[in-house]
Amino acid sequence: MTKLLYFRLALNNLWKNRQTYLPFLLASTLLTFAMYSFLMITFNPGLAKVHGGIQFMTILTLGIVVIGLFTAIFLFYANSFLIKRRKKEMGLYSILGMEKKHIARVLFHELSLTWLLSMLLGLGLGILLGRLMFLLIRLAMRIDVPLVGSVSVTGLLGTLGLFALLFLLLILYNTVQVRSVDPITLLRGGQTGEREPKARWILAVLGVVCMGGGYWMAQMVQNPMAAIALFLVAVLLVIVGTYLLFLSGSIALLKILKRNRRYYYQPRHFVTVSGMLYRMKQNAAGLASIAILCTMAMITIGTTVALYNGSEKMLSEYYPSDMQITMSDAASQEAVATRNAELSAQSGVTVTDFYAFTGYEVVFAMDQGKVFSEDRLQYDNINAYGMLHDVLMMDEATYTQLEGETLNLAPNEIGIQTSAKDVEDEMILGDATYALRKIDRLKVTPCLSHGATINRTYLVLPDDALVSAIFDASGTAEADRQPVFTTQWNVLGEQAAQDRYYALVNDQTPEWDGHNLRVKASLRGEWYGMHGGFLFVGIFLGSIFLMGTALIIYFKQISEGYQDHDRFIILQKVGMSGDEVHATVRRQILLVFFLPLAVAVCHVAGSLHMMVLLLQLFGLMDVPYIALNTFISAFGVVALYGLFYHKTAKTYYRMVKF
Amino acid sequence: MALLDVQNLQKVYTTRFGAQKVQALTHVTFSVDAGEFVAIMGESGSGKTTLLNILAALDHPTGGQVLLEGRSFADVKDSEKAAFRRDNLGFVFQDFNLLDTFSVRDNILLPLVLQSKPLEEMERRLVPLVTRLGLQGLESKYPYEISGGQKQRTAVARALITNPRLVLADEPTGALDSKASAKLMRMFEEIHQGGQTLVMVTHSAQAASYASRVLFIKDGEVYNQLYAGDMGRDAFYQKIISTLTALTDGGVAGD
Repeated sequence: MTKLLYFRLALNNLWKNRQTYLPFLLASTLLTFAMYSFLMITFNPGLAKVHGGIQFMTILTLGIVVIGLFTAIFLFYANSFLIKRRKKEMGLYSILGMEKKHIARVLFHELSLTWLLSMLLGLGLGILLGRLMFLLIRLAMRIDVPLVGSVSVTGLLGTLGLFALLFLLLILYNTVQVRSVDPITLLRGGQTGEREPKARWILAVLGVVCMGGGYWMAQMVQNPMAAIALFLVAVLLVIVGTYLLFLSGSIALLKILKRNRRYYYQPRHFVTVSGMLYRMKQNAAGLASIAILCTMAMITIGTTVALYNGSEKMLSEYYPSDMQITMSDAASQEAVATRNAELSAQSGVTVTDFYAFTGYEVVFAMDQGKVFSEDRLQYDNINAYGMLHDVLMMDEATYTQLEGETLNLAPNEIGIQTSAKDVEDEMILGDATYALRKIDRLKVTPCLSHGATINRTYLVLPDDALVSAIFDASGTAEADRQPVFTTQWNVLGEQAAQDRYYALVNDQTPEWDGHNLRVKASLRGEWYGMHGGFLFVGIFLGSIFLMGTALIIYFKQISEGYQDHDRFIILQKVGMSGDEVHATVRRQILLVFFLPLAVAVCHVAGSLHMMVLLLQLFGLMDVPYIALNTFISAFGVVALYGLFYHKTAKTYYRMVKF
Repeated sequence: MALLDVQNLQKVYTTRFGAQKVQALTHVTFSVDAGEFVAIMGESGSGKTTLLNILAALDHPTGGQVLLEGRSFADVKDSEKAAFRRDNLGFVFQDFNLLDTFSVRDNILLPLVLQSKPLEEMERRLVPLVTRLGLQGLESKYPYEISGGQKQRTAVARALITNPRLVLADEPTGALDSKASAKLMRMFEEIHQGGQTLVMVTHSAQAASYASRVLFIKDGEVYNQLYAGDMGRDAFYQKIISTLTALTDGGVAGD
């Protein structure tokens, strides 16, 4: 009987506090849904068979970690907000004769109920929308393999377990909170303003150092490998810096405004400034969180959209030919031509841009005009990665064959075409120095194996003998000095013919297996598999960050609305008109909303350089293109944010109205 | 001419669907001359608060009218109500209604800030008022740092700083102990002697005995009134008590 009483009390409490509990339940439900969806997709047996499925699973696993962390942080934030608001109520209970353990029991029931509801709703939603998720993934990854959207036992158990653990921790936290309830002080209401944090100068300096450090790293980083290494550090520094600077900066600013009496004692500013000073810490933490979540949403969505949209561009840059195969001797190379002629005749496709040539493909480190073989590079410095080049050396005759024009290189001259930003003017090989003549672009770019290196470089040598000189100077082992015999061509024709052709390539060319065969059509599948996977995860995570932003804004405004309600009533009794209240509220909310947004945009702009470097790892080099995509995505986030603003401002105004 | 003229005031509250009507004020007529200190007494439910809300232009009467210096409240447009209140009336509430986001000083200055008065003017009015109400040294304290009596004196200062025609006080001693109450009432007395017109609603005969006139309200009508005249405060107090006794003993209005 008494058990039922606690349960009913809990149910009643949730209903009474629905204005704040519903958003909490909603968030918890959506996070459950997100977690279940990710687990379901990751553990779907069909995924491994899909082009790029393995890469996608890796990204999904990363996504699961991010969602897990975010869920933990968010649930704790929201719960502590809810419990803080209800301390007065708990004080009342304890005056009415409930012992602390009884209160704790009611809270236990409340959270259990919330858990149960969010599991039912979230998992139900997950199962219901499973098919839709897979449809979206198939669209994003451009695959037509049917992925079965079945109920995933792993997903169900994993989600149930994780959320049970998190809610258990919340219950524990709330129980500890109940212990610290002192009914008298609570009933009197915590109507005291927040104190200034101690040592706020130290905080300010620390904030500047962290923020500056993060920004400096993001600007100073030279190459993708360094960017990967520094990315997390820079992100953490900027997050810490944002919190500290919002805390110390906003308080300092408000105090300066207050001290400027001509400014402060104006109807427009009087109420706003004092109100913000009153809850300065809460304000600062809320604003910083909003700024960071917004930044995360913008960057996640922006980069994945850029990567996805840039896929086709990158593909044509990396794989200029539809087909390419590299053999190790001239006889095999000739056999390729014969075999391909048969295949194309059989399937009815036309072969164009057919080139067969010889060259040397190696990985060199290039630094100040000198070349080193890859294994001689000292990796103690992260910038060393930036010196790595995928190099294809060819003689002038090959160049002429491919490009249809002659370079007329002098004996002491080497032609160079490279994706690297900075190129030296000369190359030092032993005692001899060669001038490097830059070639703007290659019409027929021979494919280079796309490894971990970021620079692709083509060297055109006036003399075949120079190859040995370069190998000698770089210290390349004898075994690695083998020439490669490359053949590449494009395949034209109707789709059906092309399908037939590629099927034949797959099934009828056992002699091509084990060679470096690149079929652009299947590489495209892999790329879209990977980038589509990124896009899916990016947009999903971005949406979750946005949801977090919306909820923090909502909680912030609701909690302040309750506090401000009484205050605005007094102000109106003392003679503030409805219009003045409206203006004050608008001003206050505008500041709360757009300050973090401005900071987020600033962070995104600051991160751009680093993001560009990171995207280079995936082969996307076009900086303006990345910037454009990022800022379009950021604009989308801003638009959504504006919508939250509108909704919240209305709710808030309704709360404080007389 | 009277400063405040209350004529035939009526207030009927109708429930949501008009099923039930509650008559809060049936017929209230009185006037307050400039410089008077009027206390309005009555039991709970007698209509005191309704009356005060109407006097404060926070509520509309259903019949009759209120004139301040000959100008009817009904003529004040809704959009000007806030400014009208701010410029003409000062308020002291039972629960102080101070803003905890403001220091004592800023709480007092609030109406002037809303009036957009220049800074020098604010300073000029603030200093003597703070001294008069014994709030020196508390200016930069926050409401949660001071005592109830100090809070109420801050509220009084806030009511007075606009130099209002009329100060309305709603149970100003309701939340204070007897010592703080006595101190506050002595201040009201001083303010009154300084020429300020005051209307105070109160339960307490003690507080009412500081007034120059006491109106008794019962069942939504003015039941009786007493003038202090040359009477001493103790004698006046005794008289108020006996009137109150008669009031509760079941006398019918108009006797």
